[in-house]
Amino acid sequence: MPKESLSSLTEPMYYVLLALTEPLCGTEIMEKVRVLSHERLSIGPGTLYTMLAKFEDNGLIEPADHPSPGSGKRKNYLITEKGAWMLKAEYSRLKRQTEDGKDIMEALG
Amino acid sequence: MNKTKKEFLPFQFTDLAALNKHFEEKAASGLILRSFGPTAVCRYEECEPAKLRYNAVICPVSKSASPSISEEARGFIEFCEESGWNFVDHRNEVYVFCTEDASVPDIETDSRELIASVDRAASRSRFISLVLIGMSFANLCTSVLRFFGESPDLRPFSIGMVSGQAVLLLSALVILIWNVIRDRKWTAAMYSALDRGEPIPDPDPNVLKRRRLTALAGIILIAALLLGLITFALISSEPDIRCFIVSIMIAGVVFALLAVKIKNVKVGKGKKALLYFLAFLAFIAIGLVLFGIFGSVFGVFEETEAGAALGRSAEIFHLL
Repeated sequence: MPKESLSSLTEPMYYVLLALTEPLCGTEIMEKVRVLSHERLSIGPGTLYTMLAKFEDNGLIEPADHPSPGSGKRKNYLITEKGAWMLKAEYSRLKRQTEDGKDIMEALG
Repeated sequence: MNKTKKEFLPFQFTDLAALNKHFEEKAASGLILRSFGPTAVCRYEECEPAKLRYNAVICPVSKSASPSISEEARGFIEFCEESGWNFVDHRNEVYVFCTEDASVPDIETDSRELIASVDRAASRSRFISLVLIGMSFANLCTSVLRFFGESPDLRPFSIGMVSGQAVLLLSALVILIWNVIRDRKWTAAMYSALDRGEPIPDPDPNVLKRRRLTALAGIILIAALLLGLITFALISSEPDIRCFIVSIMIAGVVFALLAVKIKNVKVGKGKKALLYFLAFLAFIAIGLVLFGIFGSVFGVFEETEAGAALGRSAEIFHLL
C-alpha cells in the first residue's frame, strides 16, 4: 500500500487508537471499538486492515511484543509514543470544541 | 455432491453493490456461489435456499489483473475470516466473502474508502479497454491506408470490412465513454449522499437491469472487435497484412500486460512515464521482430513494396 501521511484522525481512527492502548489483535480491536463507542460505531475488517497498515506506516502503532492472552497466534498491535501524542492532541481538540459550544448549547436548552 | 450451475455474469466486476445483491438473490433461490474465477462465468451449487450476506470488496493489497492470491492478500483474507466472513473466491482484485451472521459488520465500513477503491479499480479496468480500442484503431488505420493502394476489384470488399470495423470501434468507444460518464455520475452521487450524512443507497433494480445490459453489450463488442481482427487477419488476401495484424496483436497483449505491471510499481510519476515509454518501445520492437519472423516464414517481403519496407525495419530490429 502506498504510504499516506496522516494529518488528522477520523472518528473510527480515534477509537482504534483508543483501543490500542493495550495490545490487541484485529477481532479484539473491532470488539473494543464497539464497546468504547457504546455500540454506536462498528468497524469492518477491510476498513480496519487498511487503517492498521496506514497507522503502522506512519509509526502510530507497532506490533506488540506481549500479545493479549485471547489472541492466539494473531498479530497484535500497540500504540506508540507518536500515536499516543496524536491521540492526546485529538482528544484536546474535541474537548476544546465541546467547551467552546458549551454555553451556547446550554442556552439553547 | 450437489448439482452445479454455471452463469455468465453480465456485470462489470467492479459493480460491487450489484454483485452483492445478485449473489444474495441467487442464495435465496437455492444457488450458492462457489466460484467467481478469472472468466465472467460464475459457478453455483444447488442447495437449500439460504439467507446469506455477500460482500464483494476491492482487496487493498491485491495486484490488479493477478489471477493468484499473494501472501499479503492471504493475510487480508485471514483477517476478514477471523471476524466472521468466509472467503468464496476472487477475480483480479475483487474478493468475494459471505456469511450467515447478520451481526457481523460489513467488510468495508468506511464508505469513502469503498467508493475510492471502486473508482480506482474501474479506472484500471477502463485502461485495459482503452488499450484494446487503441489496438483496433491502429488496425483500422492500416486497413484505410491499404484501401487506397488496392486494385478497384477488391475495393467493395474492403469498404465492407473497413466500415464494419469502424462501426464496431465506434460502438466500443461510445460504450466506454458511457461507462466513464455513468461511473463519474455514480461516484459524485455517492459522495454527495455521504456529504449529506446519508448511507450509500442500494442499487435500484432498474439501474441494475440497465447496467447488466450495458455490461453485456460491452463484452459482446470487445469480443466482436477481437473476432473481427482475427477474421480480418485470416481472410485477408494480403499475407503481409495477416502477418502485421497478428504481430501487432501479440505485441499489444505484451504491452497491456507490461502496462498493468507498471501501473502497480511504486515509483514517482516521472519514472512511471519513462517505464510506459520503454514499454511502448518494447511494443514496437516486439511487433517488428514478430513481423520479421512471420514475414520470413511466409515470404511476404518479396511480394509487396510496403511489406519490403516494413520487413527491412523488422529485420534490423531482429538483428539488434
